[in-house]
Amino acid sequence: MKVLKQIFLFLITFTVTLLICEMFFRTSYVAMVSSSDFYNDIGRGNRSGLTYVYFNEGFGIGKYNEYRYLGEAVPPEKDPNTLRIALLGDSYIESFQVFERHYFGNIIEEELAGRIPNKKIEVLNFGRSGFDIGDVYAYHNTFVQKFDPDFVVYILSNDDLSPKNPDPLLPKVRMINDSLTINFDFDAGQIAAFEYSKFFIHNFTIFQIMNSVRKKAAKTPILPILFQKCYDWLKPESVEKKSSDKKSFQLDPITKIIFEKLDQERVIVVNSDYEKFPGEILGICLERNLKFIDLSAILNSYLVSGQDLNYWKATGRRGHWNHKGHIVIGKFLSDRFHRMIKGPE
Amino acid sequence: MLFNSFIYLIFLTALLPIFYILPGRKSKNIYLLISSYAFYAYWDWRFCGFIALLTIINFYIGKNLGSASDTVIIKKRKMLFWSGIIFNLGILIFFKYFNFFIGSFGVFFSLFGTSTDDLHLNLIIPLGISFYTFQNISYVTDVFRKKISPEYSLTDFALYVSFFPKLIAGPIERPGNFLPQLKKKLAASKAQLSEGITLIITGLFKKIMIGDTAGRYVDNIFKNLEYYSSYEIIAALLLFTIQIYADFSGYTSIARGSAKLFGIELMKNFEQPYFSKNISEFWRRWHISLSNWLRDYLYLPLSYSISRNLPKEKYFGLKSDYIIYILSTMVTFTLCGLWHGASWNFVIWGALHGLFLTVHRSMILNKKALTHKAVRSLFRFSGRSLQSAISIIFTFISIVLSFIFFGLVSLTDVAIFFEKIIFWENSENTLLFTSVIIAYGAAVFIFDLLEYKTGSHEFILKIRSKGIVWGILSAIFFVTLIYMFIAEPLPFVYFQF
Repeated sequence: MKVLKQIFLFLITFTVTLLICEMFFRTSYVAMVSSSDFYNDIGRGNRSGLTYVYFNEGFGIGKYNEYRYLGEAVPPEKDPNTLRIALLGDSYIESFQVFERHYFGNIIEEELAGRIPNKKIEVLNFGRSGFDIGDVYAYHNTFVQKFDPDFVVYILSNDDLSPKNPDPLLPKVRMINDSLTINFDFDAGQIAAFEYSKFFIHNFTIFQIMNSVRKKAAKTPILPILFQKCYDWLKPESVEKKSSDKKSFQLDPITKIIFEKLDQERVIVVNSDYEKFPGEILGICLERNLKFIDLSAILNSYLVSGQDLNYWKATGRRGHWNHKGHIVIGKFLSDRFHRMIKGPE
Repeated sequence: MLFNSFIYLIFLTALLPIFYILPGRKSKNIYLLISSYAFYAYWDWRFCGFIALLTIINFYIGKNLGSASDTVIIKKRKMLFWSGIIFNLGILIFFKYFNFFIGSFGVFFSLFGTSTDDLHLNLIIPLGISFYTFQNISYVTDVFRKKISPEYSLTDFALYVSFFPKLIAGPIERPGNFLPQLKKKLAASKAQLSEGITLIITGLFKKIMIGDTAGRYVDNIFKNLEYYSSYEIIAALLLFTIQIYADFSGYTSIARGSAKLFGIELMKNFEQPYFSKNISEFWRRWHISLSNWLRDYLYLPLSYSISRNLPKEKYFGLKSDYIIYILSTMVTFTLCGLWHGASWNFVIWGALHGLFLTVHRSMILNKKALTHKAVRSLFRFSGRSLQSAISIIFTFISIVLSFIFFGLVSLTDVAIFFEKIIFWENSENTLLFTSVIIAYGAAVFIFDLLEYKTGSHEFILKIRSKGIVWGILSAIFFVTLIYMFIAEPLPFVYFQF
């Protein structure tokens, strides 16, 4: 009986202590609850109304607005005197590394507002981590177009040029009979699993941490995490990383068709990489007279001058654009956008 | 290896069974010594040769000081003592401050068109050098002062210098406390084992879940001051105050807990420092092993030396005793600042604390004048607890302000900090930062309050029900472990010192 009482007390105290820790984690933002939700119209999407504090190579604070994208809430309905620009792409566009006021999209908005005083400028952040060309295209056509943007900016790096995102809860771009379709046939099991875990990961940071542990354990070997340097000393030769040669670019048929279908009037393609886009992609852009901006030259010019726009002093890591990077890119893009909006003189 | 890493927990767990299998006192001590060197070699094997050399030299200085006491004249003893002090300090100054002094003199020489850039050395500073050098100085001095007899076992002395839980960031143990423990066969009692485990778990929680996570705000803001608004910078300063305490007291708890598992008691380093009612009390509660060391080996000898040379008169209207206090305190705390790091920021931080202490001393000396009328009327209707609360808040603010110089890397950053405060900028995140400060502040406050009320760092063990004790410990260990798995282990702030 005494043992049972102690076990009962143990379980109760264990749970209560976890709840106290949870309260501390939530108020101090030690960890975040899950920021994704499942929607029938877009698959996995951002949780509306969630304030986030993220720490990675940088430090970002922001909010998913009620319309399920990042930043100040702008409804889909548009005022006739408004010039609306939608930014699409991956985590570089999402920019969890900086506060909203440092975000390059906001810099573009401010700069353009100064240059085009007779129009209300709205720059909306539709960036999503891990998005590639296929996801961007699907997101544009299923969700972003509801906001009736005047310009849709596809900001992509070389890695994003092939549709390869394995997320089973995102719609997939497929080619059926030489035409592109956006496939929403999600695996029912995956949806059920997400809905089942949703309560826990949406409401408890501790479960979200456990979820991250599970993902990390599935992605990276555990032994190096546990044994650190000792693992390096003792690991067998075969485990050592082999130097990976960069694969040469092969144009995916879906990518090709996406670029062929992009609206020349509204879509602006931006290369966010240090390396230029492959010739095949540049060829299509030129052939179709697509609006194209290349950031590689400006990024490299800063790098050569000793200012790495991807280096973060606080963590000593390279990653997404740093504060300076956002300023440089924001000003550069606003200048280019202004020229495109104004048209040839 | 960092205490807040899986490899340390594995290392510690692997050491224990063999330690308890070993039969004799000597074999246990040798085993701990080898383990300590392995722990040190994990960072850089070259450090082991360095610490071994220092150990041997100090061991022989101590031995000779002991044997010289009866047969050799006092002068020779003094010479031996001073050569020990100069040797230890010389090593510390060379590794830690050579480049700093060259850099500082460089500014002066550049006025005459001479550059000192070529004199800069690419030195690897051995980790923990500031801590074990001070322990060596303690040993040489205590043997010289005949407070302890010299250690004749090289193994035991080497273990005193290099015992792994305290090797990298203290506590700065006294030979009189540590060495006698090695003379018995080491084994932890049942109470020590449960205290040790409790200290390790609470220490890890403090370090990882409070210190490191608060440090993420601090690092990002302090290293990019120009991008943040005034309130965010103040929030970062407050969070730094929490971070440094949680980090270092967490470290000390893990160190003390680890030592207890082997039956060794290390001294406490912190006793709820932010509950101090004045700055003198703060230094009796903050980094206790360092402040005691500075008191015994720097402040008191310096005070005696000045008092011997200063006639008992009034200077500038101040009594000689107060002058002695001012001089000794300012020198001690300026050097205390310099001990923390080779940077003018630390020197100013130390000097500021010296200044606070002298002001506090003058307040005590002039208590009557200060509590005159206005102050007395202010407290007339208040109870003792309100007076204490006001004193605690005032002391805390002084400490936080001094941390501006401790937390920021350079004087340029300090200038930006003050500029941001003077030219106030609002933040859209004021509420969020306020919530964060309250959460972290409450976490540290609850820990300290429980320690204060129970008079024990292992306050959880005061609960009678084992089910409750292990329920609490398991839960905080569980959350710490899962967080450790996904987060990069960050070094302790005091490792840099």
